[in-house]
Amino acid sequence: MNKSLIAVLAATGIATAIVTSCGPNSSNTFQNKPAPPPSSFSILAGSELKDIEGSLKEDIRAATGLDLKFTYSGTLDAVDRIAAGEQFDALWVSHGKYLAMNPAMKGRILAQEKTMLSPVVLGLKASKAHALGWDTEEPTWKDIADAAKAGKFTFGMTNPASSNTGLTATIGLAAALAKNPDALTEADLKNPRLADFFKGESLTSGSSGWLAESYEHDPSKVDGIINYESVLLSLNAGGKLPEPLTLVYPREGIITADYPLMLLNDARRADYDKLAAYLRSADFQTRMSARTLRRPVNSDAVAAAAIPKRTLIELPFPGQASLISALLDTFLADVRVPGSSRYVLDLSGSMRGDRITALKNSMLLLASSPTQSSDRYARFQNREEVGIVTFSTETGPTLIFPMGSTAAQNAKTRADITAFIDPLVAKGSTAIYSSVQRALTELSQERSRGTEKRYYTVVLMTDGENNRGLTREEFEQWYSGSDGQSVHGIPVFPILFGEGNETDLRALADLTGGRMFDSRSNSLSSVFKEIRGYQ
Amino acid sequence: MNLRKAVGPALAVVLLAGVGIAIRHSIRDKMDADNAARRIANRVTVKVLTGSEKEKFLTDPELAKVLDSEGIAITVQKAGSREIATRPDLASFDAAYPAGTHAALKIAETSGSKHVYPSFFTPMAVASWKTLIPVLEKSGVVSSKNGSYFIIDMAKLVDIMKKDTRWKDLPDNTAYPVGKAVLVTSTDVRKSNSGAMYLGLAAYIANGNNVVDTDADANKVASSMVGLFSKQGYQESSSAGPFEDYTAMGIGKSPLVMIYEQQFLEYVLSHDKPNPDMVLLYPAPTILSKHTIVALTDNGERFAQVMTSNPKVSSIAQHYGFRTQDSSELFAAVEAKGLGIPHTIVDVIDPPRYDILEKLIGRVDAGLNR
Repeated sequence: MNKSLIAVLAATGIATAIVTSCGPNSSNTFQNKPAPPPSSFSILAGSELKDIEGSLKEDIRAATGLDLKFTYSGTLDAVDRIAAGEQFDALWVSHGKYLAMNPAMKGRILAQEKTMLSPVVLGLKASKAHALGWDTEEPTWKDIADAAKAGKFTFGMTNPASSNTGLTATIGLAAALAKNPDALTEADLKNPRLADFFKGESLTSGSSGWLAESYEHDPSKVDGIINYESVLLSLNAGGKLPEPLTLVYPREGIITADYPLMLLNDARRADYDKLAAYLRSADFQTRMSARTLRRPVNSDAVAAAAIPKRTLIELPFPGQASLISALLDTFLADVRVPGSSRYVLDLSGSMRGDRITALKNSMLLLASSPTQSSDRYARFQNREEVGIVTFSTETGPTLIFPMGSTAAQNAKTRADITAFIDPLVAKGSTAIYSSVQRALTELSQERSRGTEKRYYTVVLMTDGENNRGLTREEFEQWYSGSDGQSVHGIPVFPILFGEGNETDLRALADLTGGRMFDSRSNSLSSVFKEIRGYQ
Repeated sequence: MNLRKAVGPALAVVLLAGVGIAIRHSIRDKMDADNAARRIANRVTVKVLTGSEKEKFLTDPELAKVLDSEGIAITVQKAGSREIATRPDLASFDAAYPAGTHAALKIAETSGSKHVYPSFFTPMAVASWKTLIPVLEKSGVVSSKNGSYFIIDMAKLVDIMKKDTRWKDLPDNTAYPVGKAVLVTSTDVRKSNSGAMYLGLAAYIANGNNVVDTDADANKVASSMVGLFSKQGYQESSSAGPFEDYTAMGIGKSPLVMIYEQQFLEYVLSHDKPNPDMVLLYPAPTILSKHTIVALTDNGERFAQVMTSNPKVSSIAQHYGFRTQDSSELFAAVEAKGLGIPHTIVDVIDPPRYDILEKLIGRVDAGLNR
């Protein structure tokens, strides 16, 4: 009776009027409608959610009729993109608290629901965990910091300004190293033991996925990595590691990622409600846990058998964004292992016009003193050493810009870099491999002379094919031969731009343990910012 | 002051009942006059902005049927009850359904609505874990009431918390020997009613077991309240958040959580095998939270009238853990699950007056931002 009346009303346009007057939520009313054809739903997501797209997107489409379109981004970069007006229906990241506290997000998050859980913990080679006694008695964060300072183990971790696992681990660490493990306070940021911990860090990354891949590719680099429990369990289950990782849950506690799905577009609220309800259903949660080894957020779901059944002591997450920003500033300026880099920049003729402008703007951004969130963390930091090698037909001179360790030195060096970059002109051919060889050789010499631990990296930006100097084959022979030995362990991060040769650049990244970045689908400046997480 | 403590809530319940009865009579007359066809011809979709704890109740299929028979369909959005009043899109809703009279008054004030309908109520309670009971009993914080349910002594608890006690420092604590502070997890006092009620309760204790009802009292106790919230760090903005963490993340995240009794009962009643480690503690004293509808449009008013007058709605509400004037269905259902429940909540205080509570919240807010 009611249904037929509704149909009649719909035909007369009255129902349509109701729909219009109350907006998109009316599909939430209790009327039965035939399932609409799949509709596209755009999501700006953290890269750690790629496994959802890979293995569960079809389930989601079948159950909700929503075809999820993922665009991946780092957390802080996501804030900038949304603040800059990019349109997405929803945002889905591993951890939303810091993001939600960001003033730029005020009023933009229209609803949010937690979708999965995974704590950030330390995965240590089983033999190392045993040697330290941490397989039988769990250490405190203080024990871990002491062992790291004493050189008893090394680890890899993501950059806290670029990636959630690094951020939450640093927050947890700072809280745990304080006298009492309460929510972080201003005083906790000055704790010298923070730096003790990072003395053990020997591998960094801008993303937790790449950190895990990098470790899986060459587990000899470090004794363990800090990552999501789910990623560490997946590495163990993957069967590629020579020895399994023992998961270490420090006694003071850890911080758990809860993967909130956040609505940004009010016009899609009904679809959002449907999606969130499905993602949180016991059925989906059980399947999700089995496939991704994350913990369910729905207590009616069954957690994957591989997930340890244990109490997870949760440390408080700071309640003020300003404290986290201050923690990041302290980390970058004073705590982290400083970086020494070579930016190998293509100034060949094809770079004329928009391209060299984009390149200059990217370098100037890193040399600037911005106030915006991710720009601020991407800029050249205290204690860093920046080297710039320009090339065209020939490799140009190397200019070294030490950032120093005072605000005045920082500012002067930023000005020097700006003065160098501004007048650059593009002309000539493209000598890629000779230039990269020079950069690697110089850094390896610095490394052997160096007295303090530093991260050495090469960034290569080119828009064309190599046509001068060393060929790819000659370079690879040199790298694999006895002369090239000394430069091993210094990753090259090539940026694919313009007519750059993707095969060559990818091979260069793989050979040196770096990663290729594609700027054809993203602005050059955001690629430069992303690479900063790997330096 | 003891007189106030005893009389205040009793008066409130009488008022609540009175409003309910008055509305019920007027509605029945009106409904008799209406005929079914007219009601259907006047079908409306009512857009409701609710506190998160009522989401499952409001999307219950049986409730939808009852509302449908009255010509009403609803769409539901949720928000922190104290955030509702300041929502820029508040005017696009037909009704607001916050937890708590104060949040409702705030909404009535900003929206100019005079149509406020108290519906169901629930006491503030503390969700905890059976494994902690011996430790909390040893410290004199928790005691069993006739072996039926547990009482948590708020004065003793607040005292322990204000001394910055750590869980591992509680005597004979082998069950949960962690370095975290003994702390009740709550929502954000600025955004959510349950957090604000927790503040009201703690402030009563800090004020020497007196309701805070002057500016001077508020100023006196506010600074000692800040730590209860700042040490928690990030807080959720609506009550469903901490309760979800309690069910999904367990004792490591949430040893003690300030919730509505209703949330716990809803969980127990909707599960064949509720987690046997969970336990509900009844604070003494406690505060009753009255879920209140503020009608913002005529359609919202129709919704509010059905919600507060239709006996079927009252029955459905009890399935979701809410108390009503006659909660016998709730008690029977809960007891059938083997759970003890106090039929009458005796030791009840009034929350601070609206303006005083706002003042307290403002002071805590300032402390958190310092």
